[in-house]
Amino acid sequence: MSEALIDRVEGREPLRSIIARPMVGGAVHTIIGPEPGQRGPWSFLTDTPHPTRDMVGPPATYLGIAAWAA
Amino acid sequence: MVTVVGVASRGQIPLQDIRVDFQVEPVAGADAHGFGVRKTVTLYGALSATEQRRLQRAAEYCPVGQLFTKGALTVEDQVACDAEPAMPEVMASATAMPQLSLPTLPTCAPGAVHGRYLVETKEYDDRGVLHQEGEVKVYMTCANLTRTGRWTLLAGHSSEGWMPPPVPLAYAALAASTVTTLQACIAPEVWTPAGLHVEIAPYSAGNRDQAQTSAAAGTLNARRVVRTVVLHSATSPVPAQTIEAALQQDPLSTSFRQGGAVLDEQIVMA
Repeated sequence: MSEALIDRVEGREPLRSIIARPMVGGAVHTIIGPEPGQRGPWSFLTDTPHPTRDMVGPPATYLGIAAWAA
Repeated sequence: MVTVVGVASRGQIPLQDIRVDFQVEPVAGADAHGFGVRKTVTLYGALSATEQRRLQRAAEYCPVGQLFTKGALTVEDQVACDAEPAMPEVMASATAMPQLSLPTLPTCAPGAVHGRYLVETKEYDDRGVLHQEGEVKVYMTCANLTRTGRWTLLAGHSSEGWMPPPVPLAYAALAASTVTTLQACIAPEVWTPAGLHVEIAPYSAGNRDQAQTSAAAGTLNARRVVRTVVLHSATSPVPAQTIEAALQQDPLSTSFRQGGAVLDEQIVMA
């Protein structure tokens, strides 16, 4: 039902509360900043399956399903 | 899970415990998100048929479940650049880009996600009314070619706030999935780990009581976020078309936009 709108913007949205940064090796570090009235921040590592390396965190899809479970 | 607990408490339904289990499977096909889930919700307690139906509906319409099953999220995408002088070059590069052929994303690895409600973490106010639904311990296991990965996390609602609520956790997964997809789609010679990050800024979609009311009634509670891909480097511009095409391929973005992630679901009474 949603639509993705792609626009280049000069500035940055001021309302960010979640930031995800790539790490060397393909993992991703994601931080959930607290919204008003919440505690936090909370930090998570996600990763992707790899033929020779153990994963340092679950795939991002699994993190989403974990949120669904909760 | 915490939504069902909240709905049960508000409706004075004698739910004693709840478990949720997901089997995660790769799903191929042009219309697929790359994955699907088989979901089992187990309800504990002496529940009437009416009470079972109410909780089943609440489980189907929990806020995060609506993202996966109903496509209840609208994503407004933006691309920003920290390096102002690079912007005209980036735009020129994007304009000159031919039709893109992005790499096929890796198939989702099979695995499972198990949610276990920590009943003792419920919190009541002075009048005995449920104040915080409590914590859920989530176990995740995912196949890998070296060895199977296993992880545990907490999510839910508590006064102490040791764990994130489910909806922000789902948004975090969306941000992480976006970065993973961009990593896979952007050419290695352009890509550097410090080259970009992704921000999610949610619009308010009401409070927890409203979400539980919506879940109990079985009504859609649409949500909206702004997702910003922030480019850091002025020397390795990434064409806007590449980013746009990658965002369209991202499995969680597609799932939250289209719904339909459930392959099979069942409610078990115990």
